[in-house]
Amino acid sequence: MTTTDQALETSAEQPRLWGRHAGVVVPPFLVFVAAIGLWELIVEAFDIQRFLLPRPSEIASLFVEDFGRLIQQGRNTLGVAGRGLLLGGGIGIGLAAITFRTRWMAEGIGIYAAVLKAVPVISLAPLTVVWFGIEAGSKIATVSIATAPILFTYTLVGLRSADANAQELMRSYAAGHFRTFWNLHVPYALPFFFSGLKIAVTIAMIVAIISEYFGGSFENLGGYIRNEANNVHTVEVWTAIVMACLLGISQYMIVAGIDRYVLRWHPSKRGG
Amino acid sequence: MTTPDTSREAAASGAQTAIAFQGVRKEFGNGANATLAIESVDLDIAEREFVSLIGPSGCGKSTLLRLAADLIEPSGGSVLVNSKTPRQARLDRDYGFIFQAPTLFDWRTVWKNVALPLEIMKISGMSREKKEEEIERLLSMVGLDGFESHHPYQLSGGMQQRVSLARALVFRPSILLMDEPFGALDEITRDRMNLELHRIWEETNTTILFVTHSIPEAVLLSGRVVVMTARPGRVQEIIPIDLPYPRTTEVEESTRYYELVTQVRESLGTAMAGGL
Amino acid sequence: MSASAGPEVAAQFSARERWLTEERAERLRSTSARITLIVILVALFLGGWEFLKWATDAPRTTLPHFHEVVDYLFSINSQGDVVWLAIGRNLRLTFIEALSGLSVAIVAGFAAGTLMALSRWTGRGIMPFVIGAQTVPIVAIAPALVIWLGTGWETKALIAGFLAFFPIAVTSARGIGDVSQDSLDLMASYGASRTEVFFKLRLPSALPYIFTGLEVAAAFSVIGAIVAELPVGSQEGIGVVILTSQQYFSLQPESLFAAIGGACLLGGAMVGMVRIIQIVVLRGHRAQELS
Ligand SMILES: Nc1ncnc2c1ncn2[C@@H]1O[C@H](COP(=O)(O)OP(=O)(O)O)[C@@H](O)[C@H]1O
Ligand SMILES: [Mg+2]
Repeated sequence: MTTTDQALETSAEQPRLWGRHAGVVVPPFLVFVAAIGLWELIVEAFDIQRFLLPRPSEIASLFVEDFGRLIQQGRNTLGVAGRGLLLGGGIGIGLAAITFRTRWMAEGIGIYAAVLKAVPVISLAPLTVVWFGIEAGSKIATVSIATAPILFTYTLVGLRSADANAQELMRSYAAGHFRTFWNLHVPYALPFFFSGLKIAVTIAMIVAIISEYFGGSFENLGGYIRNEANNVHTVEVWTAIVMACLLGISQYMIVAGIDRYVLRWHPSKRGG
Repeated sequence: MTTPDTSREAAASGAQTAIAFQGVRKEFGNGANATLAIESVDLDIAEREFVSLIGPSGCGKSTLLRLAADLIEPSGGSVLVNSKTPRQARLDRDYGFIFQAPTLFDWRTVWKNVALPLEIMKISGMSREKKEEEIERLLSMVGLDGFESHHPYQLSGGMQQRVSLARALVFRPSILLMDEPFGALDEITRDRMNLELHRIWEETNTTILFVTHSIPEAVLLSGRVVVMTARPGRVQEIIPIDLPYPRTTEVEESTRYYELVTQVRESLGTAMAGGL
Repeated sequence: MSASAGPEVAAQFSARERWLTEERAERLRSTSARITLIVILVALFLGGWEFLKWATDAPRTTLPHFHEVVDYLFSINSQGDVVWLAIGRNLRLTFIEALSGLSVAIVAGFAAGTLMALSRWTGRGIMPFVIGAQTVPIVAIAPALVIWLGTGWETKALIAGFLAFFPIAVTSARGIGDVSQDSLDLMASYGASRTEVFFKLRLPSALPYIFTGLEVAAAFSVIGAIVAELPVGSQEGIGVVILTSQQYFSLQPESLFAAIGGACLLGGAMVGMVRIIQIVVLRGHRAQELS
């Protein structure tokens, strides 16, 4: 048992524990309430037309009503984002793992990665449609093009961050490449990998929705938005936005939670 | 006062050589950028000997140690470890290396850090219970019982370095290569660690090559002190330390001890003057 | 300085001089190595393109030859324009949109990030929404904004700025907040005011962080501008060119490749610009790490 665990279990620390959680929960809640209230008031006061900016209350009630369908569409979008991330992450992490010891190779791929990061990926969406079809295939491809260079860069820097003395220690044990990789380089890469993953999950979601917007099925958030926006059903569009945000936040929080759990040994993760 | 331990003297002067440097030269970089770190170093370290390397910083002490450890290769001359090439000695896991920084793995507990070499080396003829017993014994020897499941960030610098000492001892290497192992510790912890190290050395059959920049430390611990010149590093003088064993605080108060400290200090002064 | 110190100083000086020329030579070597590498990478890209075409026996309507795309760039389109000039005009507009958006985002993002870093309660209150708002699909709000604010470049700049805001806000908050307690104590021991702490400590140490965010923001601003051009009603911009080329893809596949190439160039130019500024501003800083 760690000293922090013990500290948290003593009853004297209880108020502070509550205080810490309150500090994390209360401010966002207040901001949320204030923002929604302000929004409602502005729509009311300036008499903004419904198709331009609907009231939060309207959006909320339709959101609840349509929840079943929205969650289904969200699931489809998440599926595309997830599969794209898996493919892109696999390619990026794989290339980083293969090349991190070979400077010129990593450098060469690094330049491609830098270029890809500068490329507006959505401009590639029409092309992926030509190559991989209008349905999921093209969207998965676009998401992987967007996420692969991010995970490549972060993983590469992480793998290379292994302490020089620790590498010599492994060498002094006559540890093979494979053992050194798992026992030393991978743990060093993890914090970087998670930083990259937190960025990549968000980008995967954004890119998935944008590429769905480019065509294909309506049974996903991007397609739904395209369809409803064309018919100027603004409230419907907003329910999809809310769903996208909720999924984005939960995704991020899940990754951040795993990050905290997996890296609980990491000096930067102890304490608040 | 006890008499000098004659069997130990015999071991130091006779029989087997643990580490042999012969005309060793090491150059870093090449062409116009090259730095000559050490040149024509001859040094024999006998089995069970405790030898300290001392010299101005940048004179190549770490370089010598890393040559013996096969972490780098000499540019000239030869290095033999247990009568083998350093590479073979490394593959045979003949030595343990201790760095100035504890170099613990943050993601492993104290226990698992000490177990690391055993995991990697798959030492044959040592049962699981035996290994666990050994780790436990070492941890209590370095005074860390009760900290088995702590992570490195929960330990002080001195405790971390003690873990690294236990980790180096756990696979029972015949040689310990120590690069200013206690240099970053406060004096009190350092004194304790020194006495502990010395006790371990007396209890086991380990050969120790110890880099330090503390003259009293070198004199107190060693059978011989090797003084090196400034860059390019050469052996300036080898000073035998004829103090009685075991080395205790009592020894530290003897006149001979002071004479030897002075002798090393003067030799070091010459070494530094020569280098400038 | 006394005469006796002469040779020593001279020796030091020549050592320093030698070091400088060596460093320059080293840098030259690495620059030429870099250029060679880039030439090789471009050759690999083109080779890969043609190999892919040859290996999959792809028709022109899936993957034209590279030279066909180049030929197309120099041809005359149905409006009587030279194609590359027409694309260039559209790129210019998108560039203006992206750059204006990025500029606004830099100011707003930096201000928001600073506020979040320096006021704990504001930070805790806003941070979750900053993360959440990043996932707001801009494609969804773009049409509404276009209806609202018109199809002018300002609307597109706003959308570009919206997307570019988040990376800057997040990295500014992190950089400005992430100052070691030791440095803060040191500044306090000098009796430094809050303003001095900000300008002499927080801002300089935050710059490397902010620039990583800025690079992402530059790329995002281009994406934002392009997405903003997609809703019906837009007449100009590289996004419109891409959309039109997509419609006529089967007739003139080269046009889509040319348009995408143009968009990629624009993204590269924006990010490259930030890189150059970064190199100039961060000359004294250590190499930047990611985590
Ligand atoms: N990897 C290296 N590359 C270049 N020069 C090195 C390297 N390692 C050590 N040196 C140089 O060799 C000399 C001796 O270094 P070192 O053995 O670390 O000295 P010490 O441990 O005695 O302080 C120093 O001048 C140092 O700059
Ligand atoms: Mg050293």
